[in-house]
Amino acid sequence: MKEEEGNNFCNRKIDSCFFMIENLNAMKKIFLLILVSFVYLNSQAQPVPAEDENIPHLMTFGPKAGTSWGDDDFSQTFFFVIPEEHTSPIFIRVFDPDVGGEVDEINGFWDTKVSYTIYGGLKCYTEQDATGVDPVGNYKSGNMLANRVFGENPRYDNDWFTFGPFNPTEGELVRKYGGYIFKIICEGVEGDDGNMYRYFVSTSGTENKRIEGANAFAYEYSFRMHNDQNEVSHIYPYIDDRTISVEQKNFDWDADGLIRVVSVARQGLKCEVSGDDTWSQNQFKILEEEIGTSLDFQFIKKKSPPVKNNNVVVSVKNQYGELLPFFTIPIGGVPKYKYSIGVKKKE
Amino acid sequence: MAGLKNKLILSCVALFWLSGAVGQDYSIIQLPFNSSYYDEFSPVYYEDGLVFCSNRKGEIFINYTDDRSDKPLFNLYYVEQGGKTNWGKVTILSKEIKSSFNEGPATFNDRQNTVYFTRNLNTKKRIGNIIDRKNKLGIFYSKQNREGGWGAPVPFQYNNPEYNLAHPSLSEDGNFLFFTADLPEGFGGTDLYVCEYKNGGWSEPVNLGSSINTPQNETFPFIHSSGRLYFSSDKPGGIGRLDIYYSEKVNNEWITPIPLEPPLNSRFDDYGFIIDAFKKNGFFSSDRQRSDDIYSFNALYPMFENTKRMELNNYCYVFFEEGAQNPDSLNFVYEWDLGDGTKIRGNEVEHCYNGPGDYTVLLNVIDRLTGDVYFNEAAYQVPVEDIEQVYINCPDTVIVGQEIEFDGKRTNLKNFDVRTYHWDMGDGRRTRGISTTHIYTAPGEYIVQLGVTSKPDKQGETGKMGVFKNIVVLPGHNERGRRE
Repeated sequence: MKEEEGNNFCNRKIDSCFFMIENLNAMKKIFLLILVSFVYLNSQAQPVPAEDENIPHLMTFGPKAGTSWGDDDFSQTFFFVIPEEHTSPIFIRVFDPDVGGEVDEINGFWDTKVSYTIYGGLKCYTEQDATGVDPVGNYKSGNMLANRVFGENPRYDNDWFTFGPFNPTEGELVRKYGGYIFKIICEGVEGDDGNMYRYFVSTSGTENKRIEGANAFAYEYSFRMHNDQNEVSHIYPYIDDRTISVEQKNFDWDADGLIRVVSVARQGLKCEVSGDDTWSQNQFKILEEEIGTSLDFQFIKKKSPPVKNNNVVVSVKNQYGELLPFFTIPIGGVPKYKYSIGVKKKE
Repeated sequence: MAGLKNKLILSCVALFWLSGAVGQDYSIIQLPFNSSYYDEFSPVYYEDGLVFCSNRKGEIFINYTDDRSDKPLFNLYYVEQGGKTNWGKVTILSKEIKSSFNEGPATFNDRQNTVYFTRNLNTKKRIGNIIDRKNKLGIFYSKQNREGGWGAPVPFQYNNPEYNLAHPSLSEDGNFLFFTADLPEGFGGTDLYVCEYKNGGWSEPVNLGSSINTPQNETFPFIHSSGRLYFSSDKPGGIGRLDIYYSEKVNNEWITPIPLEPPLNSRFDDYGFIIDAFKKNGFFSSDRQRSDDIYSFNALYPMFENTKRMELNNYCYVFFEEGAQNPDSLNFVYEWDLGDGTKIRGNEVEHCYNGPGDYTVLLNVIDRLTGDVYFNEAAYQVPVEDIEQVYINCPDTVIVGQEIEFDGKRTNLKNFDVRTYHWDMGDGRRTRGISTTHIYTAPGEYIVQLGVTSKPDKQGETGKMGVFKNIVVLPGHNERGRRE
């Protein structure tokens, strides 16, 4: 318990933050409003994974696990966007942060430790290494606001641990997202077990209360699939106006069914899927109607034989090799193929 | 004077059959140049008026009279028509053609420089010739010379002193000469014959056959430019005495003659019928007012120009999903809720609605991969409408003698308030009403026309629209059996 509190480097400058916001001039407010509305109207943060994603857990393994367990790099980075106009403290909560118990995946015996580190401030997002798929270079950029390492800990098994409170201004202000960005990196520190967890960015330190307008995104998604064959998981990369084509890349899908891309203009494009401990990728062109919307990557499990505890890693790049963000609340809403009925007279 | 007054009153007989669907609309007028005592009949179009026969008193000294009627013999007269109801003075057609005996019904070629007419074969002024019943009628022709006078009449090569040939009617192209004759090989009474002009001469007379001729008298033919043959017959089944019929050639056979409806036919002798190229107005002869007189008639049936072939209403549609050609669609099943209780599955489905209406088509999509069913993924409002046109509702194929119902109830015209429906059954019968029945008496392909008129607008203008469709009339069972 002491360890948890001691490692919480929360910078409490709430009052000064309020002052800063109050001094935004009118132009800034207008600009802000435009960007916020661009990111997502009426979105509310933020469970990660979000409901629409139907992903049971995020996944990060201990560094000694083989990649065949499904984690290619034992690290996962997520970014939280807090709207600029949100002024009250925020909390970043982690569900089942420990490695042990009923949620996580044991590999022999529980010997794994994972760390959760929260970053804010300058470069926490805008540092180039921070937005890559691999934990290399200066990916831990920015000001470390909090850190906590978890091993097997029944106290937090199937329960929430809360980081914070944080003043929203402790994040890095990124105009294009209309808010302050916080970065959280979960990394395997020791051992070879699988850590299954979820996040929630909340206005409360004791319960999950959504922040209106907040969102979360990642550039590489490492997650656990449902065991139920009838469940379909989704991730939603956003297609900006620079995107002409994309390359999806998935790891260790274990040929568990298929990955299908749906969009406002795409009924269901099947993607190349990886086998055990392998990568697989394919490219496809972006349709004009898809610009400014999200794609829906659907992970559809095969019916038989059932694949249990399947972990998978996914990323999507544009034609420049730039990674596209997966927003947990898809920008523009969950993309839905627009069926159009054609009618002609029978001759 | 009183007689003249009566004649004037009677000359303006206008009869309207407007009731129901069976009435035929003609107005008839007894022409003012008819004489009250003498006879006028068999008009034929000539120049700006009519040439007709009359036994009117044309000269101060009458050479001969008919010993039975005590009236003068017949001559050909001309009367000019100055207007719709204005007629000029009646004059003898030609002194060159006139004889002391009978000159009767005539016909002109298209250029009107040759006239074929009826006359007694023996025209020598001998008292015996007029009282001699053996002085048969024959056909003569005369050609107009450069000065406008008519040349000496030339007897038709098939005139026969033993038989009568009369009432010539020349086809518009001048190649067929129809006439009446009592030749011995006929069906009885007088029959209709035709000669064809070929190789510089007229062929042997050909009897028009049993479709036209009967043991009774068929007479006074008039061959219309359309090929329709009008004539009169006193065969049983008519309204009375001579009635006017018409027939046309279908598959090179004359169809069963169809009688004209009243008031053209009456219980008196009706004959000497001619009609204009549009089959709208014409003249005929009748003794319905005691003496034979010439009447004009006008069809009250409105003219429907530029009628269009009726299009069939098409309630059949093909529905498809715009992206269904994409391979992505293979994993989806489309279920179409077609809005009338019908559900069909398929990428592209065809469906025929029973009739007009607004139908909402819904597309349900079944994801084969996930098993999910997405209801109402797309909707489409299908306004199924009748084509905007006058509509003839009737069978396409019927049998001779079958009573057929026709109706125009499915006429669909926007901004057109239909007031009257006018039917042309294609076989000469015209009638009015939103619905009617009709029996075709001969096989063939007929063009049925339905025209409608609108109620007058604020300016008093009425609109007209019309369509036509073909109807095939098959021979009756007996008829087919005979042919086989």
